Amino acid sequence: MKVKIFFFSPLRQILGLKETDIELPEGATVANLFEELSTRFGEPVKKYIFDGMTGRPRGYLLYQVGKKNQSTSYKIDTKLKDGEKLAIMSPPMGG
Amino acid sequence: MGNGYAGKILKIDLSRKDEISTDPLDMKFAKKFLGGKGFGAKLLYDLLPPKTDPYSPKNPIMYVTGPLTGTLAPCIRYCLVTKSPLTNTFNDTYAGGDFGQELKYAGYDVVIISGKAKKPVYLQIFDDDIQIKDAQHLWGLNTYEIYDVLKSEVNEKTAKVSCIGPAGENLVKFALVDCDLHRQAGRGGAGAVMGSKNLKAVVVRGTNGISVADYDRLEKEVQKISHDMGITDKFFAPKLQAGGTPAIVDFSNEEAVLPYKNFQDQTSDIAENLNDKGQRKSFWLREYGCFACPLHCSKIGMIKKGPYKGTVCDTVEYENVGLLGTNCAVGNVDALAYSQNLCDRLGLDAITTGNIVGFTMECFEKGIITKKDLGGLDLSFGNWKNMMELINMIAYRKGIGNILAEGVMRAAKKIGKGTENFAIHIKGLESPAWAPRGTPGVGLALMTADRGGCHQRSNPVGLEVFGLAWPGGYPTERVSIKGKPDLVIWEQHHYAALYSLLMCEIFSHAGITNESYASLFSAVTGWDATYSSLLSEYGERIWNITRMFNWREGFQREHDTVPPRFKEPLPSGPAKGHKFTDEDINKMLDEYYSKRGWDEQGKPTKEKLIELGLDSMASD
Repeated sequence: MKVKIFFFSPLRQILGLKETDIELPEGATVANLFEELSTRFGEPVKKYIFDGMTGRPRGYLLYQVGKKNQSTSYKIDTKLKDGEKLAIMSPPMGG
Repeated sequence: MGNGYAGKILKIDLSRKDEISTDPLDMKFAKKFLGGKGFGAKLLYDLLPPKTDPYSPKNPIMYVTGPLTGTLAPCIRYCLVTKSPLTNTFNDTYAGGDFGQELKYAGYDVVIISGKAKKPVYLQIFDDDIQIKDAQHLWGLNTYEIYDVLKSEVNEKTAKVSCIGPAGENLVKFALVDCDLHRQAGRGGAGAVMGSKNLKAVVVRGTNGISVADYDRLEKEVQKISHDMGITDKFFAPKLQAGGTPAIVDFSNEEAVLPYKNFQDQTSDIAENLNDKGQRKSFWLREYGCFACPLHCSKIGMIKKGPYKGTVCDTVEYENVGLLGTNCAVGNVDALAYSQNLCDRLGLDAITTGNIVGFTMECFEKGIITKKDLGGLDLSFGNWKNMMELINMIAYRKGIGNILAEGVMRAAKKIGKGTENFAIHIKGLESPAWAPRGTPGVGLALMTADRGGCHQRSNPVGLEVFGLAWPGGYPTERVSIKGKPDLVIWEQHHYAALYSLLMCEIFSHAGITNESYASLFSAVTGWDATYSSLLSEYGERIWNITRMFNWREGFQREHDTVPPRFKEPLPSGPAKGHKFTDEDINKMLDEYYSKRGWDEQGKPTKEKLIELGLDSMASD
């Protein structure tokens, strides 16, 4: 199956890339997607989406695209669907 | 009058009704100190004699705008500047909404209010028509009640209102100033300073325009910002717009920087109930945005069930989720929404209030404070019903509320019995919802913040957690102290410049580029600037003024530290076991002072002050 990933700050600037398609096996999870992204884009992405101390994938960076008023971050074991559009963006700060 | 500025400073002495005057804004002063924080810092330093009691009529409260206020530039706040009764430091506190824009349209860059009225008054500013009016009938009203009464009384529906609640009247040291119902200048007790002057409210209406140097450039830059933030993308609703600041909760909880049970831990199971998803499901109704903001991160809602059903309320902002929520072990989102609403109505800073309630709950848990001390209340962690009672007691200084109304530092000193070890404050300002064990840069930022332990002077948590470089800087490791002084110095200059332009920092995390700030500034004023020059020319200068103000008040190295709790090992989370050691604190401070050109006690050197064009302070 194929999912589309949109990059927002800071990965858009780091990679110089706005979006990309990722091929994954059926039933793949967020954790599988993160592993594939790390393989394809290397250290800058790996360092961002995985916690360097524990190896934990940071599911909260991932957001579903195209649905109004959704802002729920994914869990690392959430199963992805074919054709799904996802965004990776930094968590907001401030408050 | 220069482009971007209204051109006048309004001066009012409440002790003498005939003392209302205006001074022209000196454009050399404007070019040197920008606006907002920069204006406030220099004016307060010059106007206020050292060691003045914050409740003295001499302590001014200043409403300050900036060059971008009232233009197309998005997300511009205004600030209130005064000496804080809570910390005795310089205090600048900010609010969105549209009060600042209205003040600028009335013709004023700054309003300086000094003196003390003999009886309660409010100030009416309608362009050049300035009146000090009787407010005895308004005294005692909460911030929601006063709004309609006042707008009806001045017979001007479009007037904007800034006011205090009962907490400000009762000189609660962390009383806020409410602005247009939904925005609050919360921190440091500006509301108590207004209360000390018997000033209940300021109501303003303006009909003038703002001159802009290059309108086409400004319009193009605003469009570019919307594009950069993803707002123009048809398929994507930006996360901040959809979730507001509660969208931070998942990050904060998973990375263990969210206070739990009076900062005993930094992660908890209850946080998931309180994030943006939990709030949307429970009570959000529609979006709400400040003047010219394309983001609309705030929400208006109504509690749908339970004892607080029918209460119209706002988004519970991230800070208040962390302090009134997880810090007090309150996982009921409706109760959380009500507690924030209660603080806003009474005029209490919800960050400080949540911190103090958490402190009191720990005192109760440890048996230091009993039901008898609390007027019969069981104040176990998570007891939100009784939390509401305690909040009322604080605002009206009833029972133990009279002690807690002094802030956690003074309350712990009064209560004794070792409670100072878990009073979570820096320089008397209660810590925000960024618990710093495991992110030493956040700790250094809190230690050196100019109004006490505040996250709005530098909050490098994202750069630390993700190991990202800051603009012109380099990556650092999360739990290491290496590089953190450089990181914090950059960010303090960044925010000092942004807060002088009065840009909202929530907005700054939504994808706007740093060069856009400089471009907006140049388009409006016609003055050349780059992001780098904003930091080097303004950010550092302004940061040194506030440091000199605090130095003059007696603050030095010994005050740049963390509370004892942060020296205990973190119990859980990805940075489990991490803590602040005296050795690490001293290493960071030595490097931080040295790189700033300050002496080993943290005082800016004469050479540094002269280099920054602050010659008049060099001999202080």
